Amino acid sequence: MKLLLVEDNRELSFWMARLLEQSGYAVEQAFSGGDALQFLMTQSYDAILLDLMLPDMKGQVVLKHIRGGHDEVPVLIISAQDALQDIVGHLDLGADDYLVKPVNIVELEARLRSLLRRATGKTNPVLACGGLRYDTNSKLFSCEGKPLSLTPREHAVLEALIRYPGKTVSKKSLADSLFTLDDTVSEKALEIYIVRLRKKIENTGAQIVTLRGLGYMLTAYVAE
Amino acid sequence: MSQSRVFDSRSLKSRLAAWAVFPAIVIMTFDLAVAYRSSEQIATLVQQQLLHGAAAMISEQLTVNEDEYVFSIPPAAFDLLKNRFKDRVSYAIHGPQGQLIAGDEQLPAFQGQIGQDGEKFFLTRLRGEAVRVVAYSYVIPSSPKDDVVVTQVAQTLRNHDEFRDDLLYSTIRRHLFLMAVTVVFLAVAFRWMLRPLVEFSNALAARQPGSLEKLDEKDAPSELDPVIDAMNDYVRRLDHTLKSYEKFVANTAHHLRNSFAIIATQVNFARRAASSDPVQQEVLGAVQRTLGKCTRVINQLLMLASLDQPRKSSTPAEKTSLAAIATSVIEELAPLAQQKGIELGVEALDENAVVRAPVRLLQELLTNLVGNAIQHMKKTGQVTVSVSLEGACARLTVIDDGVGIPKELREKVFERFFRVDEASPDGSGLGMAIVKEICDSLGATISLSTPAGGSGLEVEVLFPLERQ
Repeated sequence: MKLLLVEDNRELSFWMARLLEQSGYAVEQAFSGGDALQFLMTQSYDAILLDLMLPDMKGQVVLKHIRGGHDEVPVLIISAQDALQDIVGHLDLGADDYLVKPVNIVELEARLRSLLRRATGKTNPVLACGGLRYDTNSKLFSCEGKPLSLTPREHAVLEALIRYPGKTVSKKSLADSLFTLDDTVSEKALEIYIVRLRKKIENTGAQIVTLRGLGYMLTAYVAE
Repeated sequence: MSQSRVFDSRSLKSRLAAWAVFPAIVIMTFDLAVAYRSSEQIATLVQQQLLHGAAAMISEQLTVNEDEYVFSIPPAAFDLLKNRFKDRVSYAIHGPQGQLIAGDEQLPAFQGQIGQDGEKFFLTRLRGEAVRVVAYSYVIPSSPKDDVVVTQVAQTLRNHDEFRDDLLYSTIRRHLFLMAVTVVFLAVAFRWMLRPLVEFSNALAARQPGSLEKLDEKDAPSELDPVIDAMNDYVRRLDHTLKSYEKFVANTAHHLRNSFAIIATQVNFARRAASSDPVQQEVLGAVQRTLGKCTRVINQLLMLASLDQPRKSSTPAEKTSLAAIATSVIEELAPLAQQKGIELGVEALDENAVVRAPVRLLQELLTNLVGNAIQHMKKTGQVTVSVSLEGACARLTVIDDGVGIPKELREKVFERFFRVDEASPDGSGLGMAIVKEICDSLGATISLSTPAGGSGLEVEVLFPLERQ
């Protein structure tokens, strides 16, 4: 996998490149918008990491050039918070995702993986949250290769949750996902499934969070 | 400015009025004194003329016939002194030896010296009333020895006083009329002349607080030009200062953040490359956490700096649903809450609570409020967010059942770097200051109270809704 890192701060660029190389990516560094555009004319990349504040031109301009040339290469914007004020605008311009500096490398690699997957057209059949994996083809949950044994109802609830990791799923839509199995699902029953599920995924690095009044949410467990 | 006070010593109008009216009053008072004197003189002169006429007429009727004085009263003499005020008139004629020849014996013989055909006027009292008397010396032509008699005619002062007062009152009336005209014209003139000044101060007062717009000196009176120039110069310099300050902050922040990003990347790298020595890993983890905190403080400072900027009258912000922002903030903070054993939830999320505000600011506001609630809980508990419509306001509340904030400290939490619990390692003391500044910039009001449950803290923010 070959990446183009567009970042004007050479030291930051150097260390980010080293980190990414450590993870097995081939990284080329461009220190200005002009450099980046020149590289893009002669080379092709699997993904571009783009800073928005560049000395010669704004990252947005680089992005426009890339998209203007009908290049579908995935672009991940990495920038300071205040430069990201108009996130929606950047995504409209053709960026695929964004991250705020300073970047957590684990997060960066996760986003990168999902971008690359989308770009290669292979929508990954495996959904993940923390250490929890769900293979949408085999319909199996696993953790570190070991399958998780779940009852059909628990399975249905967890599946509904892992499709939107980090987002709340209302009790109603969770109940709806169980509708095919039970004709009527009381909220009480749903709570019981959640309690059981919590026990079963205890050591997977994923957790189910209750948001009172909103619903449930599956999220990766963050150690302090 | 202060309409309630009749005289404001700092008002130009009052000062001008004082300087115009005060001398006028002095001059008028003086003039009235003079007028009183001259009225008195005129009235006295007139009475004296009449008295003289009467005395002369009476005297002329006196003849001497064989040492006997023959005398008849001419009615015309008394007609002369007759008036509508019914002044009392007396007369007395005394012979050369002071003997009374005819008339009122109450009038004593004149004791002073009068030259031949001379006369003297004086005031005295007769039957308890003030009278003016003329003593007229007359040489009877028909007397062989040129007898000199003194004819005295006395008249009370009623007519004299009335006449004098009439004169005086007419003067006073003229003065009052003049004064009234002056005051009216002064008032009109002040209004007219000072209007540009009043308009200028109204225009100044109508400016937005913190506005750095220049003043228009086109329509202002030329006297105000130096003021406007000075003000515009001040605005220009302030603008310049703020711009360079802004630039400085932006540059500093950029450098700091880049350095932090580099260190963070280096630490990331080190953590991966490091051996599995637990101490090394622990230290690197701690460094990473500290970096996270520092980055947050820098971002908060930047947020404050951008909120400090004078408000530019830019295009109105987009319509934003408070409920949507609240949901996304809660989702973001859910892992942190879970980790601390805090139950995060909502009570009501009214989708109709839509305010005109940048998403970024609302997000920052809610993140700070909910984040604070979670951070300062100190035990397991609940944090509840609700969004509702209340009259002309969108109401956002964040309620926790933690330790709360003592009443006396509630105003202080909005100060920068103020921390309720100095010992707590978390928090920079900037969160609530940011919250307050955001509220100010959005025209929202924020208040802290104790929730109905009796413990913890309730933060209420009221956003004004746009008028339809």
